[in-house]
Order: sequence, then structure tokens, then C-alpha cells
Amino acid sequence: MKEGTSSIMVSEITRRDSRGPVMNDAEVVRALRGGDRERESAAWARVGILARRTVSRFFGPALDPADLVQEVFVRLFRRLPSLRDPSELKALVIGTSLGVARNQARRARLRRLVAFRAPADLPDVAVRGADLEAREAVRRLYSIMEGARAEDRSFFVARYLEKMEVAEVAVVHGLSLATTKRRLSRAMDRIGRRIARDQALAAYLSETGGLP
Amino acid sequence: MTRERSGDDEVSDPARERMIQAAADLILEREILTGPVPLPDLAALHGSRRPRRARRMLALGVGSFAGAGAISAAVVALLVVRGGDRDAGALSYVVDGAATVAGDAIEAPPRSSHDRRAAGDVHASDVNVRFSDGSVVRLDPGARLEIPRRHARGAELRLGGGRALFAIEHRAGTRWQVDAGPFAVDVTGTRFAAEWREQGQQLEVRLESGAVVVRGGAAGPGVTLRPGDVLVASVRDQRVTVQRSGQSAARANEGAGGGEDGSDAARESSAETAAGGARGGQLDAADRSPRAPARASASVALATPGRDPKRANGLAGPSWFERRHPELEPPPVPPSAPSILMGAGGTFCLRDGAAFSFERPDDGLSSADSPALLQQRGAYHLALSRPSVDRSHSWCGSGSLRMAVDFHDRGKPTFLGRFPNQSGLLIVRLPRPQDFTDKTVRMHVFIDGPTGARLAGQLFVVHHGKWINGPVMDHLAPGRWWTISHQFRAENPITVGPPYPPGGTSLVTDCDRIALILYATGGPRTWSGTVYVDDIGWR
Repeated sequence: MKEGTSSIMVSEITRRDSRGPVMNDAEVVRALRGGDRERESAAWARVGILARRTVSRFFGPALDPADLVQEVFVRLFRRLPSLRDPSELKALVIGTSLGVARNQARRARLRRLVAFRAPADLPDVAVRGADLEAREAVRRLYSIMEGARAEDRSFFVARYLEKMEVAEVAVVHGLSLATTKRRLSRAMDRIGRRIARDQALAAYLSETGGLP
Repeated sequence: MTRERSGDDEVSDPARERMIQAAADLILEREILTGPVPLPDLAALHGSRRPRRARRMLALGVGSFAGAGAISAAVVALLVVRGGDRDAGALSYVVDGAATVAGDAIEAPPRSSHDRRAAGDVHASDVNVRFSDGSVVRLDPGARLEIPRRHARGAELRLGGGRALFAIEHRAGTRWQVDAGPFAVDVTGTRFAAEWREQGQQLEVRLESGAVVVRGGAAGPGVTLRPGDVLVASVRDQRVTVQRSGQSAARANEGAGGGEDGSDAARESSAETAAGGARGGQLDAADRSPRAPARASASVALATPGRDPKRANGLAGPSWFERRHPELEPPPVPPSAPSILMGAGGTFCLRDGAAFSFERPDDGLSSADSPALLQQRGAYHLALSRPSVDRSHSWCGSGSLRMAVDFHDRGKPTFLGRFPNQSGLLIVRLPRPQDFTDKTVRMHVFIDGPTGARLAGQLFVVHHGKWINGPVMDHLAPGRWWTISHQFRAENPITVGPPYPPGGTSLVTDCDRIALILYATGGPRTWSGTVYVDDIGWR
């Protein structure tokens, strides 16, 4: 009995000291809405990591997403009061992040029409490890993504990097399931064709298990 | 083309699906996990929410009181939409070129004699601040610009000294403001150059296109400039001189039949500009600017004798800090940076204190300078070696920490998949444990290596043996000082893998070391050179 009591006490202390990791979605939403000021910063930090990850995956490591994440914060702050089910928080954060990223990508694409940037000028990307081939492959992949439609990139991030089900992809993009399936399929066809056109990248992906 | 169905998802060609999946796996396996992000200003966010609610309630009240007519509906819609606009995302910007950047302050390096020779004494600096709406500010050598506030429709900029060229994109509702000393330049979409001479307390604005209004100080509520006009405003003698271009002066006098005649046009222009709030007008044919265009045909001086420049229109009164601490003397004016190598921190040296300034040999420094020994102990970053105090480079003061750097891909790869000399590690042992909660740790790095080389830097603090990292700062190029900083929170995600304890979070209340890791990431990855580190501190 004593051991049990001790265990509970340790658990409570742990919960109090490490606020971020042990908060469930409902607690995070409550804190974000300002109901629990003490935990608000920890909740925003947790949301911020998810938002930053999503934006980073959209643009690749060449872009510092700090400014875009702040824009995500502001939009989330406006949308949170209308969030009914706390379990939808993750979808809301990813959906908002992808929305901000799509807008940014469209603006960047428009600017590129008048200011051409040679592929050789594309910045190197920082990736984990020293596999230079992988580093080059990632660079080429994000170079391809940069030329893709904003919505195609958004689908790619949601479906293949965030590993969302198609129904979840539909929710974060605000589309019906049928429309999402149709657009997702076309988007991946387009991206697949772009990758296949880069023979070096396609060969690398086939060696690492992508192609038969 | 065959199609298959997996769960509720309809996929196209399976081979293509596998390729895309492999591409996704490539990204996921190789991505550097993100660390903590700067949090928004929560107080400001909450503050912005309340007035919006209040306005909405007020609007609804007005609408209800006015009845169900169409007018009330229009009032409600207008008020709510305006409230929503206020929270739109602020502009972002990037600094392009070899500038010193600290927070939202940017300083272009001073012009060297080599630059002057190479560029024929024209704009030798290549520092551009590019905003996300397409606006660009180009800084001349030695110019200092701060960006204290950004919003969705523009930004407030402060020209701390030197000359800058502003090319502001015109859009509906654009609001830009450039402050210089007691003056403010209101901009809606234009192209102009502004120079603030701090020593002489003099502002010069040269308008190329569009229109701007200069206010504050001797300029009073506002002096409107037209393309080609040059305004010189002095704080010391309370004079504002507007030199009209021939085109502008002629346009101003079209109705009066003044034509291109110099003195008549000048007086007419004077009267028009004086209506903006200056006290009177007088002719001043002498141009004070060495860069005044030769075609200028008229010069108008507006004088405001006896006017207190610091109380002109509330723009230039005592600062918030001065009002709160009237007993304190203003900070001393820092010496200007003599070169990009020595004292490059310039004015930032006054603001940012440093715990380690390397003005003398400091204890407690070590780097991976004994490869054999450290290999046995499991060290993974061996590119940096031989730390010593150097007198040829400095961020602030006259010294820095100099280390030899040797990047190559020889030797046995570590289990991180990286050669030991593809990255280098500097560890600074703190004399006593420090609490870095809510503190920003910063250090300054100068890389002396091949022009095309690119590095990435990452800051760490060590709390009870746990290495807590900041984000990776990419694209560090040789030839300039870089500021690497990170603000630590109460809970800090640990996003690096082995050999550091991976995952989870950590406090930073009891840290005994600060560390910097430099990775060779781009361009030539096999090279030798020198890395200088200076002014390591936190606040």
C-alpha cells in the first residue's frame, strides 16, 4: 500500500514538473485557450514543434520557418475558440500549418516567375549524417518539390510524411473524401513523373527500395 | 495502367507509389528534427482578442439598436472585418549579404579601401533586406537598420545611421514608416534613398518615385516630397531644406505661370511646403548634399526657429527607458566598427554583454585537439583544434578565440555515419552552473576558409550530462561574423540523437557547459582554415 502511494506521488510530481509531454490534447486545448495560464507556454511550445515540423517538411531544411510558424500561431489563436473536439487539435495544427505553407509557396512561385533562380544556386540542405549521396538526393527532391504545385506538396506532406489517412488528409485540406482521393491521386502522379524525370534521383530511390 | 486499392485509398501505378514512398522515407530518415520554436507574445495575442470581441459586441449592439435595416447590417460587417484584418500575419524578411544581424537589427559592414577601389566609390555594399511583400531595403556600407515592428501591411523601420535605398511595393493599405532621429518618413509605395548622419544629426531624403511625407522635428506635421525632390532636415539648426527637381517645381507652379524660372518656382514651392506645418520660408540656394543632382533647379529652406526638436510632434521625446530611468545618463555612443574583422559587433557590443570575451587567455576551454585520445573516448567531432586567443579578429573588443579547422572525410566513420573530421566541437566549461531557463545564449563565429565552403552551426548547453540543443543554423559562409543564438525554455525538447541522450525533454537549470558544433555541409567539404569565436554570453 505504501509502495502504491509512493508510486502515485512520484507520478504526480512528474506530471507537475514535466508539463509538456504529459498533457493530453484536452489539457493542451484548454491551456491554449487561456484557461490555464500556468501551462499556456508549455502548450504553445508543444504546438509549435508540430507546426514547425510540418512547415519544415513542406519547404525542406533550406528555409528557416520561424516567421511562418508565428503566422501559424496567430491563425491558430483565432481558430482555437471554434475547436469543438480536442482530439482534432493535431489536424487543426497540421491543417493550419499546411495552409500557411501553401500560401507562402504560391507567393514564392509568383515571384520566381519574374526572378529566375538557377538550380545551381539552390542552397545546400543540412541533413542528418554524412551520406553525401543521400544529401544530394534530398536536395534534388526538394528542388523538384519547389517546382510542384503548392497543393501537391501539401498532399505529399500530409499523406506521406505525416502519415495521415486519406480521411484525415481530407479534413486538413477542407475537402470532401472523394475530392481528396481524386486530387491526391493526380498530385502523386504529377510528383511521381517529376521524380522519374530526374534519372539520378530515380536511380537512387530505386536502389533504396523505391522501384522494382 | 494498373490501379490498386489500399484501405480507403485509391493509388495509381504501384511502382510510382513505391517511388514516392521511398522519397518520403528518404526525407524522414534524413531530416533534422526541429527544436523548440520562439513562442508568440501571448499577452499581445490575448490583448488583441479582447478588443475584437468588444468591437463585435459593440457592432452587434449598434446593429440591433438601429433595427433590422440594411444600414445596420453594413455597419456590423464593416466593423467585424476591420477587426479581423488587424491580426493578419506580419511580413517576414531575409537579410541578403554580408551584414551583421542581431535580433531585428542589421548593420552593413563599413566600406574598406579595397571596396572603394573595386567599386569606383559607388555603392559597394551588397546588403539587401528583402521583405515578403517584395519590398527591398538596400543598405550602403556602414548603414544600420532596425526593424522594431512588422505587420501585415508594412513595417516600422529605424535608420540608425548611414544611407539606405528603400524600394517599397505599393499595395492597397500599405503602411511603412522609416524613423531616423526625430524624423519619420511615411511611405505608401515608393522608391527613395534616406541617409541619417548621426554625427551631424541630419536627415537627407532623396525621392526617386512615388510620394513620401517627412514629419517630426523641424519638419513639423509633414512635408510632402515629389519625385526628384531632395529634403535635408537638420536637428541642430532646426532647418528643413527641400530642393525641388525642375519637373517638380514646374508642376508646382503650373497654375501661377512660373515656368522653369528658378527663384519664382522656389518661392512657390516654399509656400506649398510650408503649408505642411513649417513656420516660414526662405531661399537657400546652397546644396548641402554632395550627391545632389546637377539638374536641380530650385532649393527651398523652411526654418522653424525656437522649436524644441524633441517635442515636435511626440516622435522624438525621451524614450521609454529614459522616462522610466531619468536618473541614468544616456549610454555612450559606441565607436564605429573599424572593419569587418575587428570590432564587427559595433553597436551590438553595448547591448549584449558577454561572459567570455577572449580579451585574455580564458581558462576552461577545450576542443577536440587530441584525435587519438578522443577517438578512444568516443568523440565524434574532431575538425576543430588548437584553441588560442587571437588579436586579428574580434566581434567586440580586440580579441577572439582562434581555432584551426580541418575538414576531411578520412578515417573510420563513426556510428553516426559521419567522418570524425566532418564536424568540430568547441566546449566552454562554465566556472559555475548556470540556469538558462528563458535565457538566450549566443556566440559569434567567423569562418576563414574557401569562398564556396558552407557550414552549419548548432548551439548546446549541457545540463547534468544531457546535451540540449538549439536549432541548426545553416549556410554559414566564410568571410563574415555570424551570430548563433538560442533561447532556452523551462522544458526543452532534446532533438539530437546519440551519443547524446536522445528524445524527451530536459530542464536547463543547472548547466555546466556550453558547446558549439560546426558541420561541413556544402561546397568543398575538404578544407583547412580557421574559425574564430567571440563574445559568448547569455541574457
